[in-house]
Amino acid sequence: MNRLILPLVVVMAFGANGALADESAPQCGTNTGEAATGEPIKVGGIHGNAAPGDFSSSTDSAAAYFSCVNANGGIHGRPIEYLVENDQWNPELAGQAASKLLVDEAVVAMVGNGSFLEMAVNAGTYKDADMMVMASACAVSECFESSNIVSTNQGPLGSNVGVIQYMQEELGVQSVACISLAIPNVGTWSCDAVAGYMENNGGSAQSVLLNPAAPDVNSAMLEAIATGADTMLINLPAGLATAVLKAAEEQDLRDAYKWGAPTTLYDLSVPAALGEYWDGHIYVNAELAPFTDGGDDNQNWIKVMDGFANDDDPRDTFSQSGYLSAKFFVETLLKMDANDVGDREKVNNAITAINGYASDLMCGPYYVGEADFHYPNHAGHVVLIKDGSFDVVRDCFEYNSAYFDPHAEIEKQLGLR
Amino acid sequence: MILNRSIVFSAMLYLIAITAVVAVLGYGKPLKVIGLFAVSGLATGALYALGGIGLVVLYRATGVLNIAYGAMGAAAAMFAWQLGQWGIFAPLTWVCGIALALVLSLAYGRGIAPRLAFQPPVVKAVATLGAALIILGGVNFFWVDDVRKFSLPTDTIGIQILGLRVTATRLIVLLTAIAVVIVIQSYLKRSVRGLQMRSIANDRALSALLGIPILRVETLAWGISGLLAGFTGLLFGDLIRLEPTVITFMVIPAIAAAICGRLENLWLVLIGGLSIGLIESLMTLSPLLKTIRPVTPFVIAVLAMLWMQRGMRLIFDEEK
Amino acid sequence: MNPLSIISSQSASTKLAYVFGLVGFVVLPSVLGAQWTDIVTSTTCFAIAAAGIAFLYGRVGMVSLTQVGLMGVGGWIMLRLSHGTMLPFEVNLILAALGAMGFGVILSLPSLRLRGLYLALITLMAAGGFEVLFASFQFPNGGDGFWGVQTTTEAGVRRPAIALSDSAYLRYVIGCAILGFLLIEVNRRLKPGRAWAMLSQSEAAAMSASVNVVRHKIWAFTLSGFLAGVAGALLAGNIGLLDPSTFRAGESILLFALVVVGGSTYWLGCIIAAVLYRILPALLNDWGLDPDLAFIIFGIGLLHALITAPKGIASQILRLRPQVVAPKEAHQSIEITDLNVRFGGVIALDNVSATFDKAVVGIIGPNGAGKTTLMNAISGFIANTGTIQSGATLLTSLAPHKRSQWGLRRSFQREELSENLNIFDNVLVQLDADPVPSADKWAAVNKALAFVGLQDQAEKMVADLGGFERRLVDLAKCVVGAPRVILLDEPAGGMSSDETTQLADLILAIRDHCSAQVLLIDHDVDLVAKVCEDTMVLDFGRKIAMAPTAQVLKDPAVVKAYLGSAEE
Repeated sequence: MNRLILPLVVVMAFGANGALADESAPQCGTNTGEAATGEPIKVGGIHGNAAPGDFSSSTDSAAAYFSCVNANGGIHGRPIEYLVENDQWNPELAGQAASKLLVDEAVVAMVGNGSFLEMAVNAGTYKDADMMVMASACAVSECFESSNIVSTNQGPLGSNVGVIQYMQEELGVQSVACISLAIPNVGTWSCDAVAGYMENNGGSAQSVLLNPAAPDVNSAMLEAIATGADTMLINLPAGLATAVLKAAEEQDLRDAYKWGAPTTLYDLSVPAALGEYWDGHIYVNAELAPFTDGGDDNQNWIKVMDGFANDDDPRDTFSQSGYLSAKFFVETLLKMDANDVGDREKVNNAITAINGYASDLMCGPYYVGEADFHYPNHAGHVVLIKDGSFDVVRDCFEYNSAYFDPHAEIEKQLGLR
Repeated sequence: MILNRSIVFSAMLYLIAITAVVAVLGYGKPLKVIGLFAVSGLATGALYALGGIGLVVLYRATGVLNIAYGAMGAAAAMFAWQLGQWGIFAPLTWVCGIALALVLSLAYGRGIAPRLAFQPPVVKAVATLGAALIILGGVNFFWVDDVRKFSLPTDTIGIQILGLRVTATRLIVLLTAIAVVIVIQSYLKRSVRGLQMRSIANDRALSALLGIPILRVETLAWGISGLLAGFTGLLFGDLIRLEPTVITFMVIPAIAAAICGRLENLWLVLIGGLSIGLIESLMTLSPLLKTIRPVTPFVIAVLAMLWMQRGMRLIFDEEK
Repeated sequence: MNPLSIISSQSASTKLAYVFGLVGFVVLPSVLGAQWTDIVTSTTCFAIAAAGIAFLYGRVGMVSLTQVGLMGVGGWIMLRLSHGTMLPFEVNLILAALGAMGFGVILSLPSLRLRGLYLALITLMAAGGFEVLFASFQFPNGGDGFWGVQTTTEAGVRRPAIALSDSAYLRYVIGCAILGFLLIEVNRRLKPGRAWAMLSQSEAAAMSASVNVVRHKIWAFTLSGFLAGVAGALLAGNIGLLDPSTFRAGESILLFALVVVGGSTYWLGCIIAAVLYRILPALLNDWGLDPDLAFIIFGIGLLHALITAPKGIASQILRLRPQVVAPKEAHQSIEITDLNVRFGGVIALDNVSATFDKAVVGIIGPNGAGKTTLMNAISGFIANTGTIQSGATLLTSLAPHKRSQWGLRRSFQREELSENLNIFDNVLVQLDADPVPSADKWAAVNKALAFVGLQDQAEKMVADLGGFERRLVDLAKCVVGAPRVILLDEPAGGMSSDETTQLADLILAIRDHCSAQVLLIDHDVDLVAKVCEDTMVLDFGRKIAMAPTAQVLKDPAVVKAYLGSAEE
């Protein structure tokens, strides 16, 4: 978001809905109101912020929450020293950041990671180091299909399946063209899952894979039309999605198809960027609570951001997920013995043992557990782009895809079902 | 233009080749579908051509291949968008955007390019990457990652061509490309400044001895190129996407179009750009080739260059 | 030069290189923290790749903007083999290097027809192509099939058995880098290096010095591709996986730009390039600087260095003084028949026939008369009809470098010497293609240097020579070994009268030195009158006189065509 106008938008977005009505202080950690003074606990986080995108809002909100905790008694009197590295979308820098945090700085935990590629590069490193990473803003499959990463967000798979499930159930869509980037662990991975869902429910889906190097999205649009689908799923980063939707607008295709998109389009600047043409026509998945939700955690997130984050830090889904990871992490530490909170092995064991934290930000329970895959957040909302904003059209619902069967099995074992 | 045998032969060969490629890619597809993709491709090709033309205009007059051309365009597009967000009268925002590209181009042309005059052409070209990094860094700093859209009023006007709706913006790209070629060609041919530009491109030192005001002529070339960069940037921002990095690196396929004209012949740049767009789009029809279709500009540029260099020997060739 | 003398030569730069290599190999891996171990490892990988383009540009005068793309090829092969086979790392490394080398050979083909910016742009197009291919097919991550891609990455690349830990791997990579730099250094100091030096100066000069231009260009690109492959494969071993964003076309341009900034003719320049490419951004990132601002600083630095340090930062650091230890150590005629040369519609030589059989024969005529064209035709640089024969050898049937091997030598109006070589090596280049023992070549070079009086300055760099000394080196190149025909193109141009006198004595002595036939072009009529027994006069491509010199200079047609205009 533009540095020059962001604060204004934020004030308008939240102020108009009365979200700032509650002037009470944010709730953080032990809430003592006294600054922590003990020996700092080192916690690491890695984000990716450079062209082509900014994935830093999850570490921004985690940092804000930790500041709030430090101002409110810390962890048994000890403040959290949050060390954030930027991978700049560069796999080498991602590896270097992990080396620095895990080895040189010897952090006790990794919280709030938000990156497009860091998880793919470092999944093995985390496993070797027995570090259970509480990530927040994941895009790649490795984040959800490895033993030592657990995220509060859904990534493209859950988010796409979610919106398609809604559209299949409510709008009766039969065939889907899944337009995505030709990146195996992002686009292919999530479109395959959409195809799996549609086939299990008597429909079909085809992938239209866009080469990230291609400047021209018109041909991709034409290719999607050629599949004969009745629904277009725009499984792309917001910038590229806007370009594809613009190409569709150029051909006036709006009413010929139904339009869906994952959480990437659940961003306050999207409706304005898309314009009036698309008003009321694009269904978007929201993987955490809608920004305007009145729930305690959502309201507390806003207060933490207002009190402890920079004014120009974005207030988006990744900001919510970063806040959530940080909050669950602090809860875990506070339950531990005061002597153990500086011990990496014990902290990570405690994280692995997390079983069923709840928050109004998330539809389901948050858990970790020992497994080769972690996907706690697989239920969400669907919103519709409407009047320059988003209307919630379906509240919390769980995704029925067969992909999540193994996860349901684990949840039964953990007693969460 | 004198039509000698070699040109006729090349033109024939080109027509045969392009027909063959279209026939192979479109084999078994209904004519309507081919038409659809062909029109879409020509629309993209016009963008490549417009970029390539701007590069060649500057290169011919100054010997600098400006890799920062795309970055200057990106700055123009972002600036115009920002002014639009502030509610400024739309045509004024376009003028301001183009003016920014003009200023950037002149700043490099007057401030930095003369200091690199002693370097070989390759290093002069590579140095402009430094300018591209500075401009791109600045643009990304002021406008951090977000969803934006830049639209021109001409987007809403359109006509149906072979089943595809083509907006007036896309027609503007094609018509501008053709108009620029005609105007620049006749300017170089007819006017005194044009003659001086050709002279400088031919031999800078000799031109200086002849009393040609090199600085003034080069400044003019950088100015024209800056205006074109700004204009192209606005159209890229509208038709491709309003992302500075994407617009900046559009310069690489634009260089491919420029190579098709051997960095000299603007008509060939235009034909090259359109051919690239056409073939790239038609490759979508082939299940085998569609994943690698962005490779088209590069393959065509290499083939065109090798064809034009056929039979040349390097023994006493000057540094090019 | 004796390969052993590479080791015995102890310039400041070489000593610094030892120190650098030693510190890198022994000390660095054991003192760096985990983060900096990673950073230095990837920096070293890029230094290897930078070395490949640096010598290509600095030594051979050719630009490749595909180097990072070729690294991607090497990395792709490494990943594919590591996931798909159980071959040890070293085998994969070599196969990856050979694969990238193959692409290097393909890339060298345009260089036979193109140079400078055009060649650079063709290589840029190749880089663009690689970028698209990597983005389309991605890097293997353990999947099946040829492309080996699946939706989730399995374990990373297997590392060499002797270098499993990060610090051991850094040492391994530095070891590879040292070998890579030595590979270039050996090539540079031996025959290919001298051939490249000639090539970068002028292809005409290279051909007339018996250099097989085609083979040496291909060899240069081959080496460069090999190093890129090694670098890419080692990079894959460092991170464990690769991402297409690392190998964009823009990265190749940037790496090349940094090589120019670092100094392409110095080994240290490659290190500086890699440090700027990887360590500087890592530092700025580590300091928490906004990456966009880092871009700006980077761009400013790039422009500043290109403007203020034209020969690179390394040249300002090193004052390179290689102290090379130099080792101590039949009458022909030529007949041309019906020679015709046309440039488009212009007739440059019109049915010229002549026999040159005196020791020194002069060729005079006004500018544009076809004098240099005649020499170029005899050298084989331009197409002609008619024949040029010497004894039983039909020169017109030989390629330029074959003519040179046969014993045809020539000097150029602007002497074509290699600035980066010393006098001894400049002369030695001429004999590189000869199938004789090195010791004999050195002896011949020393004899030629003694002939021109430069025997005491063999180690001097050509860059440090004055105009007259350069002419003498050029002359030494003409007389070294066993020349049969020597073509001198305006050897006295721009000389003082004293120098011309010295030169005249040397030319007259050539016959006694090596019994070659000398053809001399010069505007200095006094010189021609002094040294040439016979003289041929050309005007508008036609022979208008050919007789003993004194007689020719009195011919009214000659006076009108040539001498008249010379007295303006």
